[in-house]
Amino acid sequence: MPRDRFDSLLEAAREGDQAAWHELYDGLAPVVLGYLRANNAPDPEDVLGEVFLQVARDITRFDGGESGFRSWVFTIAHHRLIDARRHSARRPIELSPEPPEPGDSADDAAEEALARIGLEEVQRVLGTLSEDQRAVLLLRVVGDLSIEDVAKAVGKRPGAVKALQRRGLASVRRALGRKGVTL
Amino acid sequence: MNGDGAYEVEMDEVALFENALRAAVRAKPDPALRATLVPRLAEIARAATLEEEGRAARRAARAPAASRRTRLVRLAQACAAVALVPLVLAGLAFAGVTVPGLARDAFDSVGITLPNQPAEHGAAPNGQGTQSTGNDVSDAAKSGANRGKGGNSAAAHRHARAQHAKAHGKAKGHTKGKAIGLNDLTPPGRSGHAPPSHSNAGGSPNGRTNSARAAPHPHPFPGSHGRGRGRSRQH
Repeated sequence: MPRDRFDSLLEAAREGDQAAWHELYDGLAPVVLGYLRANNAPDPEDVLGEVFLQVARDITRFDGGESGFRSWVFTIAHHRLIDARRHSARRPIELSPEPPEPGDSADDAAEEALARIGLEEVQRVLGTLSEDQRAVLLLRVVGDLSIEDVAKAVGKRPGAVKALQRRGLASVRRALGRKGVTL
Repeated sequence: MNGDGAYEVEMDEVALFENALRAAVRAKPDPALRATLVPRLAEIARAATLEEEGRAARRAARAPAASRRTRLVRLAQACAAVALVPLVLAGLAFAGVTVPGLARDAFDSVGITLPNQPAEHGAAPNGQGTQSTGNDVSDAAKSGANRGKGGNSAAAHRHARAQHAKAHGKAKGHTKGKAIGLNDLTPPGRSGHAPPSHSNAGGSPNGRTNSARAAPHPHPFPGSHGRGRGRSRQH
């Protein structure tokens, strides 16, 4: 989205324009919900609602472009996820109790990759990661955040985030190799 | 398969997993949530914007009052500092410190006489007209302007003579000592030599300076034959 277009969208959202909020919500809610589900958030849709309510409350303080907005929303999502985890008992890692209704805008390459690996295999591999590794990989891959933005979101130094990403990818490689994913 | 090939395969696996992950985690939120949440979001954002604008307006309105208050506080601090100066000077005077003449004049002009100050601080630069405040020697010693100008104070002379009278008979050679002006020959400060700040009224008890027995010597240091004072002029 061009910068001017995003700025006017943000301004409209600040003034309470529902169409602007529909657009923002439709663009970000599926990935944020996916991030929450993949991190085993208790009641992910509730947490998603809390995330967007905080976005609406604090939108007057936000200043930046589209990628900065995305990063900001994921930072809020990460913090709400931690809060939700604190308020609920731990449950075993599973992507979702029921297979989620797939989103409608994943690109073809992603759909093809998922078809080859399979949803269950993705869940299994994610389950082999530590909590921090999973959060970092999901923010990098799903949230499309830079190392610096991920570091801000999870409250760690960029070097620590790089190390978590490296170890997480090594775990993914090992897990896929054990299963023998065919390319 | 060589190592490079294995690495490429691993990287492909990871890229494939990342793509699969993007598709796997992407979930469609409940449409009912969207229908209820979005209007609330718009309403909350509008309220937050209005509140922020109100806060900004209040801040802008408060700013001049705050700066006026700051100016008043600074003015009061400056006034307090100015008022403190005479108090400090008066305190110093009570403690026995001689305050500068300018400050004493200022106090005099409003009818306040500072204690422990020389009575005529502005007069008699050679010390002759200075009135004693009870510690003549120290006054004389303090008046450094008098030294070496042939005008050692009369107070110092009186004090030296008093000390001399007190010591009379207690030490041998008290009339022969080196003390300035004790033998009535040369008034202190008239010799052209700078007198020492102490009076040395008792003279030299060890009797080394016996040259004073001779004829009256015009030199203020009759014991100049003795060691250490060998600066007497040979006439």
